[in-house]
Amino acid sequence: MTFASGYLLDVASGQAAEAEVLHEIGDKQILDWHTLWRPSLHQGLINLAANEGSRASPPQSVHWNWQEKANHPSQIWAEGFCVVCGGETQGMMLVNLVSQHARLPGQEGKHLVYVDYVETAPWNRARLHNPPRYRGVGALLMRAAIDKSFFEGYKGRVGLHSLPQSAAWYESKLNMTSLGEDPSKQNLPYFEMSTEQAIRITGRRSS
Amino acid sequence: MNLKYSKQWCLEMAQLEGDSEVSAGVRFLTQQQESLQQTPSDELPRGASVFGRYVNLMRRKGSLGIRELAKRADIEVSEVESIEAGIETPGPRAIYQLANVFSVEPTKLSKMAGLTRANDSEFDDRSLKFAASSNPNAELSEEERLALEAYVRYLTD
Repeated sequence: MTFASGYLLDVASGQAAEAEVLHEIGDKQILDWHTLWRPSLHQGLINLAANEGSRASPPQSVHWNWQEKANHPSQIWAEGFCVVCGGETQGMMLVNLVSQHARLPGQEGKHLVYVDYVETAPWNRARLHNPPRYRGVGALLMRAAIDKSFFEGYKGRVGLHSLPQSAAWYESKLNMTSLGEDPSKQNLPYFEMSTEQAIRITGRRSS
Repeated sequence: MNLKYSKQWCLEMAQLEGDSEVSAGVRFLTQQQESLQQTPSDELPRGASVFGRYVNLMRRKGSLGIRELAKRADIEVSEVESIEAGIETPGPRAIYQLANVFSVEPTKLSKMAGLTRANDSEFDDRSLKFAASSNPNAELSEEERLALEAYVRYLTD
């Protein structure tokens, strides 16, 4: 089911490429993960070792298994999103509306969209494949999470636990508020987006 | 829903994203480990949240506005809003009044709201699965309607 239409930056050509955000992680995405993502990740790790040496730290999502994630019993209340461009899955995200609540001062306990997992295809990650194929996959997925939040009446509030390698994206570029490391989630840094931040990033006129 | 994200916004954000890593979520867990990591007390919707979704769906199923439901149940509009938002655990009177409107046993709604202890894992499982199926603002989808009907059957059996 199409959630939104947008664009990615095709790095090789420097042109915009039409993309779709789908409100599902379907069989096609799992097939892409098996047949495209995993071989690309394998090659990417070889590239990484060649570029950064054998002590290079691998992507912290290297062991993620999207087939397990999408079908895990704990995900009965999860909703999947993905970005498709050029007929291939460029990124996937699982969100849920019930497991977490807002933590920002003044917003404590309010509903938010919690991003359980988000990841882009290995060929879109510059550390693994340089240059990457597309840029902007993470932005489209975050935009979908924000719009989902507005649609649900949660006023754009979004929360997530970032992998440490990704913290700069959420804090410095999306300007989400860092609420520190969370001992209940492997000490991952927790970030939250307020209504005001969501409006600023999306250009919405109001909530 | 088919939103349109402008080319300008997408390309500006793509430039902003650059070569950033954008992953989020817990690390290095197998499925079995993830199961063990799940701590029901803080991961699962409970009490007010489940009850709020139930009230929201039942109201929409009956094509009732919040004011109309508040009037029929003889409770405050603000209380219905708080209940649906999962902000407020409903009091015994509100539960009783809403049970009458929805033709459900008050004791079952009381369990759902967490006022009385369920002591019934099946009740919990069904409540959680039901809570996961709803979408507070949209019209009832076929999936939501089926989930609600199954849940109501369970509550009224």
